[in-house]
Amino acid sequence: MDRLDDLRKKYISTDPPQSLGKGWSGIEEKLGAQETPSSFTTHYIGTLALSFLLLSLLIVGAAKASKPGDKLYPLKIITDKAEAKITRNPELKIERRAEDIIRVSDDPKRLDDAIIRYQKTVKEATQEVKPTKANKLQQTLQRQEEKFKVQAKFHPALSEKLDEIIKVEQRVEGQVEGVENDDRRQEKGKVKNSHNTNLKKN
Amino acid sequence: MEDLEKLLLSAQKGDKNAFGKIYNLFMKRIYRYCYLNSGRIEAAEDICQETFIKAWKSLPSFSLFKGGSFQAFLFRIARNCIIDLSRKKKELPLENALEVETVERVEDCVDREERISQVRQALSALREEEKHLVVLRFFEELSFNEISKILDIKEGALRVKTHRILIKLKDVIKI
Repeated sequence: MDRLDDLRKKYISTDPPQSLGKGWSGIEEKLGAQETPSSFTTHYIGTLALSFLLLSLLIVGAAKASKPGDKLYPLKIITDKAEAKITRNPELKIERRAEDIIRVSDDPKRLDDAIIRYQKTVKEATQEVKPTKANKLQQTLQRQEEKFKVQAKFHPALSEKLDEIIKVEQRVEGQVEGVENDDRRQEKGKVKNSHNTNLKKN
Repeated sequence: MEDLEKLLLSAQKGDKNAFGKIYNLFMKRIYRYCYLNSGRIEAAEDICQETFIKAWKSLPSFSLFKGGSFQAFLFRIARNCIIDLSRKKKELPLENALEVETVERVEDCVDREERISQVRQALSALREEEKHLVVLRFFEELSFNEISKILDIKEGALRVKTHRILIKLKDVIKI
C-alpha cells in the first residue's frame, strides 16, 4: 500500500502549468449560453418523436409489401382504408384487394383469404359510394373482372375461384345499378314536384 | 461544501464569476486527471478547458439536490473529453508544444513530466477503465457512488473490480 501512496503523492503533486492557472479569462470568453433543462427535454422529446415516426414509416412500408395471411397484412388494409378515405376514392381499396388476389393467385390458401377480403371490400365500397359516383364504381368492378379473367388463364387456382368472384361482383354491380336508378327516379320526382308547384303558383 | 453549493446555484443562474471560482477549486484536479490520461501537456490543457466549457453549458441540468455530486459530474465530462480525443487521435503540431513549454521554467516542466510518467508506468499494466478506476478511487479519493456515475458501472460491480485491480497491482508494483 506504501507504493500506491507514493504514486498518489506523485500524482497529487502534479501541478498544472502557470498558463492554465491564469487561463480562466481565456475560458470565460468562450463560455456561451447555457443549455436550459427545457431545451434538454425538447431535444429528448424531439428525438423520441422522430424515432417513432421513422419506425412507423418502416412498419407501414413493410406492411405495404405484405400479402394476405401475413402478420402485417391487417395493417396494410387499415392504411389502404385511410388512404381511400383521405383521397375520397373508395375504388382504391377495391383495386388494391384485386391486386392482392392476383399476387397470391398461385397459393390456394392465401387466395381464399384474399377473395374473402376482396368481397368484403366491394360490399363496403358499395355501401359507401355516393349515387353520383356509382357509375365509376361499376366501371372499376368491370375492370377488375377483366383483369381476373386474363390472370385466370395462367393461374389454375384463380381459374377455379373465378366464378365465385364474378358472381359477387355481378350481384354488387346490380345493387349499384339499383342505387343509380333510384337516384334517377328521385331526381325525376323532384323535377316533377317542382314543376307541379310552379304550375300551381302560376 | 456550503460555499460550493452557493457557487453552483449562482453559476446555474448564469453567474460567470461564480463559475470562475468553481474553476479555481477544481482546475488542478481536472488538469492532472487529463494529463495522466492524455500524456501531453497541451492536450491536457485543451481537454481541461473543454471540460469546463461543457460543464458550464450543461450546468442547468445538473441537480445537487437529487443526489448529484458536482465532482462526479465534472470528472465524467473530463473522461468523455479524453475518450473523444483518443478517438480523434488529433495530434497538435510540435511548435505549439514548444510554445507552451517556454512559458514556464524548463525544470518545472521536466519535474512534472517525470512524476506523471512514473505514475503512468506503474499503471501501464492496467486496462484503460481500470486506470480510471485506480486514479479516481485511490488518487482522487472519490466514493464508489461517484465513480459508478463517472464510469457508468454499477456500484457492486465496481467494488468487485477494485478488489481485483488491487490484486493485479500487488503483482505489478508490489503495493
